[in-house]
Amino acid sequence: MLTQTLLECKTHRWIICGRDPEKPEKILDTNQYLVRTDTRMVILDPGGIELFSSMLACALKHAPIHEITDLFASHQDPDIISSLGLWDQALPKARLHAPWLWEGFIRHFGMHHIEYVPIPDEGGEINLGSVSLQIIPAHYLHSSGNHHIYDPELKILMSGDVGAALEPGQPPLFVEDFNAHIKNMEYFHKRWMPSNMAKNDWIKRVRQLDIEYLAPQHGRIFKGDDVKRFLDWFEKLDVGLGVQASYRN
Amino acid sequence: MLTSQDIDLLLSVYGERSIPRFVVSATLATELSSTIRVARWISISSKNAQAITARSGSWGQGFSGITQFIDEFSRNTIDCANRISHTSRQLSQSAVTLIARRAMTEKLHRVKCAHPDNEYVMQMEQKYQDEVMRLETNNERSFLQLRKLIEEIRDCTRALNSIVATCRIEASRAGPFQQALFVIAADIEAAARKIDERIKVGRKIIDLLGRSANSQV
Repeated sequence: MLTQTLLECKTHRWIICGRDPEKPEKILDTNQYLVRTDTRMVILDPGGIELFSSMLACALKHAPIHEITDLFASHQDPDIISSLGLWDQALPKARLHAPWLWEGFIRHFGMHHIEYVPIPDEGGEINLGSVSLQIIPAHYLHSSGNHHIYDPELKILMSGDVGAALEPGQPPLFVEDFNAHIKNMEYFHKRWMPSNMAKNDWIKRVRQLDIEYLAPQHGRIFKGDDVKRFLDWFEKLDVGLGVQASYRN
Repeated sequence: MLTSQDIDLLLSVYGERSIPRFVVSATLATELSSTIRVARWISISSKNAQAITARSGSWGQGFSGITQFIDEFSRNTIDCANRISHTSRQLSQSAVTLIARRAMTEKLHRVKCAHPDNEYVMQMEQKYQDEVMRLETNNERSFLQLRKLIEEIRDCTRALNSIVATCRIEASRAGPFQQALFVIAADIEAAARKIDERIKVGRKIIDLLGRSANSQV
């Protein structure tokens, strides 16, 4: 699995893990993010059960097992957190920050040792001691209980499925040509995002943040001006395509 | 990089739980990978020494003879560390699979107890039991291989330590090239110390691995 430091400052650094060449072919590629401080590490959307071994190896390159103290699940999907049962056995002492709405569902993945920290609808924070990450509500994008992570210091928004693109092979880490990238993400957003109202509410909230990197869970990362380009594009996009699709025949 | 104290700490943070084998073997893979970097550094030092001795004529003849041993040592170390890394990664993956297979066997056993006449369930349970046994045997084999490899890499380091002493003696005979070869000998010595430290940690992790095998996780 590829692992690369995205951004860093005195107190912490962001690392991306993904583009796993060993993953089974039919499994969707996912980006996992690590935020490492000097003594702790959080894994954002730790991924599916099939990726666990690679992801564990990747995480251990950056922190010993006992310093992986926190997990964050933006929502309940299997590609986000179906590895939970294994992390539960692997981590000596950890907390899972996930939407309160999904607690009873997520526990189906197996959780006996990790503490579930329910995130309220209005969001909150993940306190890593020297670093605090903001939890930004993103309900219905696409899950009914959904959050993103914003780091005000490094100006990075981990945006879950928003900004995701489905590309075959091993695409580059960053969007290089925004207009050319649209074709990779248009259907995904039209179909997976159910609500224009939720979308516009999220855009309004996110425009108030100072974002240099918008880092989705699938595909490439948006950097600099491409962040604004993405928000403008997403604002104009009509989502909820599945409703019409059910009447196709 | 972990220290010996970190390994002791690991034992205490898990409390009454045993450390899963897939965690210990993944940790070993990570820890030993730094050995590869150090061994490459030794190889570069050896190349530098070769360049110096080529220029130094008869002054560097003694040192020149040692460089091929140093090169051989670094190659062996890199090879050993690569094999440790590969085997421990495989063991970690296989230990994860074993957990899933054991869980399935337990569930099928419960179904069999509730429906003792169901032949299909009996066959399925047998199939999974066989798979569990196969994985356990393979994992045990990997563990023994890892133990052997870590001893091999330790023997390499011991050999290197004795080479370092000879390097210093030969450097002192190298006249005007003495200082440059002393620097290289010191570099190699420092690298050997680093590898030594990694191996100590690696052996502690191997001990943990042996204990985690008995805990069935």
